[in-house]
Amino acid sequence: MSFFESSPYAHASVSSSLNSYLDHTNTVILIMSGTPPTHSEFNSGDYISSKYASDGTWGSQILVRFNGNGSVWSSGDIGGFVEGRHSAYTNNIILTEAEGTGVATWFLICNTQSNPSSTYYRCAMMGEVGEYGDGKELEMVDTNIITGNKYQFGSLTIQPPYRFEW
Amino acid sequence: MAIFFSDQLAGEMFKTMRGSNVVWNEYNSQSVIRYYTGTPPTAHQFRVNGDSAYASQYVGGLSNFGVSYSNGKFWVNPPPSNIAITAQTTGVITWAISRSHQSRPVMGSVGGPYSTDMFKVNDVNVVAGEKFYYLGMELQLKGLV
Repeated sequence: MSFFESSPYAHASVSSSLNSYLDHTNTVILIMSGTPPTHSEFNSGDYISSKYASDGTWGSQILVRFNGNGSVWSSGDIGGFVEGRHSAYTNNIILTEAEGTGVATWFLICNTQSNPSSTYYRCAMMGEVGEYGDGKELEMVDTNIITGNKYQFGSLTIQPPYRFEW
Repeated sequence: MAIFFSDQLAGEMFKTMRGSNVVWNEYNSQSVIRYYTGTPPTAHQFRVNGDSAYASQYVGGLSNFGVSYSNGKFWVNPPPSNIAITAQTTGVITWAISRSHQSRPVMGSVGGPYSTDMFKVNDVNVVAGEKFYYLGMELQLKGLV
């Protein structure tokens, strides 16, 4: 098995660049319904922002759209030596009306920039949504989303992995 | 399922590994690749325990090179001047570390010339006193985690 692994100390430099690419007024967090894309589907084809456009592959799956409002990620690492963690929206809690009805199954965090020459254009991350205790990457009290109801994003902690295998 | 990072974001996240006093430099006399046999520790354990803790697994290494970066891909550039390494032990090379900053090693698997491993040598089977050859260190991180 081929692998790459960084030490936490080396990793601090890695995770800090999350600030560079997903810390903007252009960052959006989308709560989605339906089947999450595979890794291959996530990376191939249209640019990310085209995929969640109204006429895009994922356009009909959007339930809630949290638009970036200033700093998305709080500054620096937390947890002492356990470096590389970044938390989100601790200072920018957003109350948003849902634009779709359905069961939240996955989320997407990406940059909305539309310039194809921009590195930001393909910078995105995604994970699964579940209710508390489900063990999903994003947990909600209730995954049943209703159009017009208001939802707020409390906080999110991302710790990029140390180990990659292929 | 874990969090997916797009390939682009994964590459950009790791881009900062190449910079002054980070993990790799464009050129640094302290840049090293060290090859080992046996079961690898975690990169964190290696950093904490230090090189000496793995001396019995150490096969050999090289230094003095730079690491280039572009579009999510790292590679040694220019190649190290002396790619012939005399093995200090007999065994199968399985892992290696690289760094240009003493406290910030990264680790990867080692394979033959046509492998998909991060580090490539002419033959992972080495005999003490005989030479093996560095054939590259290349890393393109994909977003799947």
